[in-house]
Amino acid sequence: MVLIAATVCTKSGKALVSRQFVEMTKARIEGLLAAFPKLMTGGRQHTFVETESVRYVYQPLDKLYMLLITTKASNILEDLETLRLFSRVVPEYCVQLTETEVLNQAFNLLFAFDEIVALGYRESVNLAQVRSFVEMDSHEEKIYQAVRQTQEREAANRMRERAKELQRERLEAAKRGQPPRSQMSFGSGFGSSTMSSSSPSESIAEKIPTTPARDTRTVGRSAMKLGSRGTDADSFVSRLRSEGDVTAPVASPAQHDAGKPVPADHKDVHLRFEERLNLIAGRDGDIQTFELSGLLTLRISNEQFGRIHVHVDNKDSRPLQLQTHPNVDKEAFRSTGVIGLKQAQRPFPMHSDVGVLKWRLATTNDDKLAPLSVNCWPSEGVNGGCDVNIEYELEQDHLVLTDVNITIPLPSGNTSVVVHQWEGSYTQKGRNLIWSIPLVSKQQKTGSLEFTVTPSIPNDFFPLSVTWTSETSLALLTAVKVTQAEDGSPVDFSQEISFHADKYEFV
Amino acid sequence: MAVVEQPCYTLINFPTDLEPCNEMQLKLDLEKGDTKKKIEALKKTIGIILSGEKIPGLLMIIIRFVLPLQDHMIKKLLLIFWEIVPKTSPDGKLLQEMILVCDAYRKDLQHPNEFIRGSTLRFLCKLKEPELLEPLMPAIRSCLEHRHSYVRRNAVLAIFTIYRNFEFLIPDAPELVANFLETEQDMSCKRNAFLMLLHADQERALTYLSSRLDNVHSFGDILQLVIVELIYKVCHTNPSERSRFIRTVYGLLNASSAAVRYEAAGTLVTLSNAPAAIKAAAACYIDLVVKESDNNVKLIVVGRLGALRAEGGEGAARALPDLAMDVLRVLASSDLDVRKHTLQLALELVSARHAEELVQVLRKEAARAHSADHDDAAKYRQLLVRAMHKAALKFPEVAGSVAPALLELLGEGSEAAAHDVLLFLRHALHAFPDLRDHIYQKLVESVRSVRVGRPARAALWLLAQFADTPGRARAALHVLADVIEGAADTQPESGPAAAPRRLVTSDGTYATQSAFNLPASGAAEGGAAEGGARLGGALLEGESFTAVCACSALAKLALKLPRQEAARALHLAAVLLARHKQNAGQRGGLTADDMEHAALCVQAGLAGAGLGGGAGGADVRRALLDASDAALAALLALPDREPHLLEDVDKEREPKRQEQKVEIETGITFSQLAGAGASGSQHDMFELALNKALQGRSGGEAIDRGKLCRVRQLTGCSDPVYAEAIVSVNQYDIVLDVLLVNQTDDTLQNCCVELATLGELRLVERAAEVVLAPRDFASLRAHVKVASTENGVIFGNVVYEVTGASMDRGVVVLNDIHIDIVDFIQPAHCSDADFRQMWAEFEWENKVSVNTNMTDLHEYLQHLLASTNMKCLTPEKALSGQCGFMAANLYARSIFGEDALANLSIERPLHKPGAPVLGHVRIRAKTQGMALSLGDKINMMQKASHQKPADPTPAA
Repeated sequence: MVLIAATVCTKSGKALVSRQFVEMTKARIEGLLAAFPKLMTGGRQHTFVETESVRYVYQPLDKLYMLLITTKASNILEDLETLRLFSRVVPEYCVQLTETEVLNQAFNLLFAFDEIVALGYRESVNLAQVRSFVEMDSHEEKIYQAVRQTQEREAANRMRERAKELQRERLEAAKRGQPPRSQMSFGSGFGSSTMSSSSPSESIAEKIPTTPARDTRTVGRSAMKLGSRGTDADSFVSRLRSEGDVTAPVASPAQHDAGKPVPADHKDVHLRFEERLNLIAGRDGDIQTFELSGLLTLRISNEQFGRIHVHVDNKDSRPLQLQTHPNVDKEAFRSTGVIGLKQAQRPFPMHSDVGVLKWRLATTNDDKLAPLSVNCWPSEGVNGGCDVNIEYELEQDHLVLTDVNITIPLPSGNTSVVVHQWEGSYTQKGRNLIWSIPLVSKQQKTGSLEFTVTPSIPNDFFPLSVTWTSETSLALLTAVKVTQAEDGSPVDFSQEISFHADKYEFV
Repeated sequence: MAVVEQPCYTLINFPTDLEPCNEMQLKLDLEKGDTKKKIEALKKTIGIILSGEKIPGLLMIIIRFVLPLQDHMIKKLLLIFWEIVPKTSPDGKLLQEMILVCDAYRKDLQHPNEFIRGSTLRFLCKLKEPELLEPLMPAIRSCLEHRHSYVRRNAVLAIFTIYRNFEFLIPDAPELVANFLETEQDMSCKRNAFLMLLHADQERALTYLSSRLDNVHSFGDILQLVIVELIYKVCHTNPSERSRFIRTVYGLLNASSAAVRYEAAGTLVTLSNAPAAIKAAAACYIDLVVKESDNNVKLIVVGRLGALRAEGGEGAARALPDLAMDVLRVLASSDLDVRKHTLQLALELVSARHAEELVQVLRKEAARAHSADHDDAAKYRQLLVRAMHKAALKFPEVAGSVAPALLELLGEGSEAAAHDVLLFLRHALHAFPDLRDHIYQKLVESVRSVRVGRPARAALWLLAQFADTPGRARAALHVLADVIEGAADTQPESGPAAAPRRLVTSDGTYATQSAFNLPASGAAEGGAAEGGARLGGALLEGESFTAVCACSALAKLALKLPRQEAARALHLAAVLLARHKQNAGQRGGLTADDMEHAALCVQAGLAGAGLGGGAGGADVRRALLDASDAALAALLALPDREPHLLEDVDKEREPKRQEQKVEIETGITFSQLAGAGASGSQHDMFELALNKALQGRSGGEAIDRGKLCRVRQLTGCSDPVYAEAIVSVNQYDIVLDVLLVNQTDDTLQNCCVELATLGELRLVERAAEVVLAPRDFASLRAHVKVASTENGVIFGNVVYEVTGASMDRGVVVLNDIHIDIVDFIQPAHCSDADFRQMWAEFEWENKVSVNTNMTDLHEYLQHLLASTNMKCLTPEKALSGQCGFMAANLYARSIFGEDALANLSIERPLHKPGAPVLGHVRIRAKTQGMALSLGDKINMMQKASHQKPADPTPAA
């Protein structure tokens, strides 16, 4: 059960990167690695070699081998499991499976290998966990840093105030003709003239945080504990996942907004409906998670349209949760579907995207909500391969989806992919087959793809993910008109609708 | 031997053609560069250290300018850096600077980032300096209570290794970890904690386990695996505990994880030898083989089943035969290797009760494989035929049902399987007289369709040999007459057949080997076969040798038949010969040998049957009929005439017979004095396997034994530095233990051994420099890696400096060390067919003339075997006797898996008694190096033997 070393080597047997998990001499490991290419004979359908003392288990990865050296008493089933994980980790870090790329990523590979095996025993981890372990992206560290920064700032502020106070005292004392009370403590080095500048506060601020910082760490920890107190592995994983999901949407709109020049066709009043869909469905089409979130942003680039009303029509019969910005007149929206500011005399902010309305649709178990259903049907064929039939169908007639990409994972290793029938186009990128359909609409609702992969098992082809862009929205919300707040005269406006999938997966 | 080697955890093969790193530039980058530059510089530094160079100047720079950085990448790289950087000064003292680093470790152990903590803890597992670890202990302990399981599980590992290496640092570790285990929820942490207890304190591990014995099934797979390991270990050291755990292990046979089932099955049979246990384990194994789709698993598990049978003793013998039929389910897999091993196993397992059933299954498989159009299908059919052959030998009662099944497979004989079928028939006809009638009849029926030369010849021989009754002989004659006359009438034309190649068969007769021209002639005859009968095609259009065989068969038949029919048989033979003579223009016609043989046969037939003149009918009869009977009986009686499914099976079993001979240098172990755990033979298999893997050849007894005779003197006794070395070959490396003795009264400074290599050798580690006091000695160690089986030379010199002396450096040139190829060659066995195939395939041949003063052929062979480490494939029986010449095939395989073939043909001139052996040895190998080196070796051996016997006994 002891794994001695994990190595990436070339087909000719040159070891590129190797990590040993038990204590051994360099001469020994080099000897073992040098013997491997000679022991390996082609034309076999199994991928292990046994010698007097060790067992080599390997898996080809394009022009490379992922090689594990184990003891002979080692559990082969366990080793193969480990090997599978290893050979998924390598392509994860190396874009191409070539010698140079492996050497470029040598250190990342070493770090990743370390996470998989501890002292020769397999750790129970999956690819995502390895990835996050290697990234070392720690929530706690961020909190710690934030707390530390706040403390530094506070300390600096306190210091500045204190300095001011002292100075005031000193001035007052000077006025009263008394010697300043605390002059002695500042010593001669500073001199009274430099007192007002920020230099003392800085010099002290550097020292201060050391002690409070250590205290705050425990505060931070206990604060986190309230949020999620499970120590179980599952909750750990799910927490990682939830964090990953929370951070992604927060980060992405920020990127959208920043630095994007306003396109020419935008009128002075521009509405933008943005919808994102998060969906996980089972292979049978049962929806496990469905979360649609939308945001209506308003951008006004002319001051004369600062005070306007946006009339929104909600035709949706589904339980859409609508939420307006706190500054928007909620009552008016609820009764008449008008978005305007609560304080009627104030204008909307200029030249920036202002989110005014959010909507959300989240259900589970309602199978009719999915915009696009994908039916992936792998069936085991002869000689260890799978015949896969994939079919999609547009479920919501009002949608027009463009650039639909269906990404089908392929098994790692040496596989042959033969596509028999397709609509649209397909490409094979790395270990994925990407099926692209330029347009899916009411007129062209369905399409199918058939291919065969050997060797493979049905599980290889999941999770399947879908992306698209669309200028129609899933929720039936539309802006009818925009009027001036005072007189109700119509205002010319432009609108833009975007609907895409953040995560659309069939697992 | 005082040199302790650094363990090596990391290997990165950076390309050597990179521009040489400038140390100044590195320093500058590490000091002033931004984070990115520092990362790059740090990577380069690691690369340099990994390649074996030392840059002590960088350590302090890294401590000052890189260590304080918070970047994650830098943190991780630093951990690798600390892992590989030398932390001690040459005299073994910890470097001063490391104290500074120690504080950085402590900070990282308290870092808010759980991953930094975790990876630092993991790094600490590899740290071997107690001085550095000591201040860290409180921090490590506190990490046990960290909120993240990632930190905790690494903390457990750190505590484990520290406890193992330096118990005094944390004497209460077992207790600590046991308490930790009680409250821990995370599976990985639990596993690691349990692992620690398993190695450190089995008592506690047992207590923990027994309190949860009923819940084991709900544990995670990795924890279950360790539990099984614990049970194995406990029961190994303390057999009385066995009964407690059998139930648990048995329960784990149904675990959801296949790995656990496999492990549990393996452990179960070590716990109990009862048939029930063995049966349960075997059933579990079989289930794994059938269900797992991976060929690796299938092969290894089938191997385990085989081992189970071999070692299980009586219990296995009782329990396993019932499962033989289940094993056959594995045949559904498509891999040839798997099938081969499975058949082997099934044949070993099966008992008489199931033999019939087994044969039925094999027949069905053969029929299925017949229709399959796969690359391996032909080979698979051949395997099945051999398996059935074996089954018939083992259980004669099934031979009756095997025979017809096999005859179905004879087909037109173009397949590999056909030859095996005929081998079986030969055996069956010989061994089972009661089946003879039946088989013979079948053979007569199917012989017509045989088209390819080699099986046709074999079939003809069988027909003639076993035509014991006039009825049979008549039937045979009838068939032959039909075939020959039928074919002679039609005039099929066919292209010229490939010129037959003359070869010497293993038993010394000349034969036309069909393996070479089989495809060509098969294709040529394809057209002919459509016209006439198939056998007729082979006889009339095929190679002349086949026709000659037919002649000799007909002659034999003539001897067995009454006059009139005998005449007919001989007439047929004559027709056949005439036909060939007639065709002589188109194709090669009969060769002189064939012609002579055929004519002889016909004449003998005439004489024997009393048709023509000539006397000695009885002699001819005896020569033709009885002698071949006797030869067949003798051939079949040879031990290795059974069909081989697996070549290596016998080979593997051989070394198990250990010699009960104690060598001179072996130490005597007193079991009373040996420590409890120290007794070598009581190590359990996990540790044994690990030790073996880490050290190469097990135990090193082979090395110890030869140590003294492997000492080589490197410099002269009057040189200022005397040097000698023990050269030990340890699988793929050569270790030189060099002893240096200062023979002068001066202190020799910077004394070092500079070595260089010639051939496929590479110096892995240079020996360090030493200072030798007057008359002092020191021992050094150097490693050389061997890349292939070729002769290599290690040469070099000793360089030293004498303080205050006028000359600045002294150099003593070392005697060359020749690395002997024989160290890498191991005798091996391969089948005759494989030998021929390799002989034909290999490109390099080295022909060495025998040049010796030995006068005995056998003596020469033995000497050759002993000095080249090869194995003689030619059976002892074939070599015995004195006839003045000898031919033998030798075979060996190097530890790198290269094959080396040799053919020895030597003779002793008959007319000159006492003359030395003459002849040559031909060596063939896939690579030039192998062929050359082996040739050199033989030449050297001859030279050596020249001198040795020359002195004491001048050639008699």
